[in-house]
Amino acid sequence: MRVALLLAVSFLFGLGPLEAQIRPEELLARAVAMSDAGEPERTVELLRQLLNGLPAGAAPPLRREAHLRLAMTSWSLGLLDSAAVHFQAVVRADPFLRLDPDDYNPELLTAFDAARRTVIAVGVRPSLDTLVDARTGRWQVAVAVSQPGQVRVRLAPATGSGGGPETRPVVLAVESNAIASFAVADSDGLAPGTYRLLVDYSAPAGTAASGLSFEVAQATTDSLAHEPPPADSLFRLEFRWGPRSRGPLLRGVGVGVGAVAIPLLLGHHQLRTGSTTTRALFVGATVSIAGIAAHFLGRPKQLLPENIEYNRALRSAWEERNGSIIATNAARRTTPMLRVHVVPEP
Amino acid sequence: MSRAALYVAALGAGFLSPVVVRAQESRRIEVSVHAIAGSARSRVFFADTLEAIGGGWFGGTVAVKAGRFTGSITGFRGTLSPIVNTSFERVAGQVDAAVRFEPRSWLGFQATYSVRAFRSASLYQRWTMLGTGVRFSGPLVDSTVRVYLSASYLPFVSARVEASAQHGLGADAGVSATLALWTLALNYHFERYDFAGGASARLEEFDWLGLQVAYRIPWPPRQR
Repeated sequence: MRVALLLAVSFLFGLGPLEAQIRPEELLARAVAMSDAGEPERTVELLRQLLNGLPAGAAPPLRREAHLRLAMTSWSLGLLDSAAVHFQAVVRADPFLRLDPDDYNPELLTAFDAARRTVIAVGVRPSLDTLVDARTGRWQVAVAVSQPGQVRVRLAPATGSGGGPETRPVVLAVESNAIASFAVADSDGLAPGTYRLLVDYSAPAGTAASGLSFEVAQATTDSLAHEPPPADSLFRLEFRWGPRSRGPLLRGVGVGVGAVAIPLLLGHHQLRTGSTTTRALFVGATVSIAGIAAHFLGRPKQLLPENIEYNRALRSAWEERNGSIIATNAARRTTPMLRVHVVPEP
Repeated sequence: MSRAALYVAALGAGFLSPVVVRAQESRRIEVSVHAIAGSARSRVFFADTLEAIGGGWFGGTVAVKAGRFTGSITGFRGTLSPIVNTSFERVAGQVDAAVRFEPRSWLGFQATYSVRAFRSASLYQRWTMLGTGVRFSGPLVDSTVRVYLSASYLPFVSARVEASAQHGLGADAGVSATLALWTLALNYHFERYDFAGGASARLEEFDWLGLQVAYRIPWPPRQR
């Protein structure tokens, strides 16, 4: 997995060729394969070859991974000084790196920590691209150091960006990791523009600095999409066909007979004509046939209240979720947001 | 209608209004429009002679159903041609106003007010009728196909004819099929009228057979 990630990252960063035929990622993959095959000497050889040939602009994760593997393999061969050097390179490349005690030999962990204490390194890791409430939001930055010390974090407008004044520094006493947060509110926060995040680290053994550039911009409202209605397959049948009953037959024939009887019962015999009886007979026959057809062709529906209630609950839950989305969107539309995203170093 | 009857009706409406308002709470209103095409017959027995006219009978209804109540206005018009013992063609028209209350799905009580007029070159007749009745209906298989039968009594009948009208009797029977918002119905309607002096004075009947198409408009529209 890690190798695959490295391959992808390296591809994206466009590494130059290490050797004429072998790319750095392939070389790292070979080294890993050698390590897994129990060939530490060959592994060391390949990793050294890899690190010696890496260009200056190579992907930091690839370099860090190569140093880490070389350190661990050297340590397993008893090359402790070489291991310490490469552990130090790992810490300089990524001060956030911690080795999981469940995955590594305690003595190797001790060696790593010892190497860490000999290096002065500071790392900063912000959210690469995030939205922050312009009124109340805070932009957070994670800081990692190699030794306990004091970290001073501040934001300064990039040269020529037209941003606001430099912010008051956030000063942190850091053991190994810490979070610094900056208000982006209008009163003392960040106006849209490009900034530099400056990190100064001072420990008893020395000082270090780090930094990065980021941009603050007005963000357009990002509304949530409405949830589609539940799929038909989720709904249950709300009725089933019941057994045939004589009710429709009796109703149909009864009303049909009633229709025929209307002129016979209500009419004056002096006014009785064939056409009147025929018309009543036509309606009566139609109604009766409908009743007979209903009896033989149709079966009554029997409602299933539990399923009806289940379907209603399903629909209600969906409507409730969409209502929540609508409310959220309405709130978002009234909330000014700032987009804070890290930009490449100039 | 006598003044006392009007007072009784107003008093009854006043007492019933709270019940009606409670029954109507949170109920939907449905408006429906109907088109009716049919055939009407009018028969008169007068001076020992049976006269009959008949012809096309076309009309429309606008009905508003609010909960258990339905109010409707219906208009008809047709040209009734001579059939027996008369040579006069008559243009007939009718307007009905009806209110129906259905305490149960199978039972309804209705009151109607109707005005019907016949006009020919030498004749003009105007009928005014007030009726009340009961209607029974029931489903065939399910509620999409229903049959119904109703009977009504017309205690107040006023007609500008040679004899004095006393009262009338009416009946309806039919079947209706509903598909979504559309309803198709076949209906037979019959009315007879009695006059002072009985058969020797005058007898009269009016009936029509009609095919009815209705479109139901739910109001307010359903919310999703």
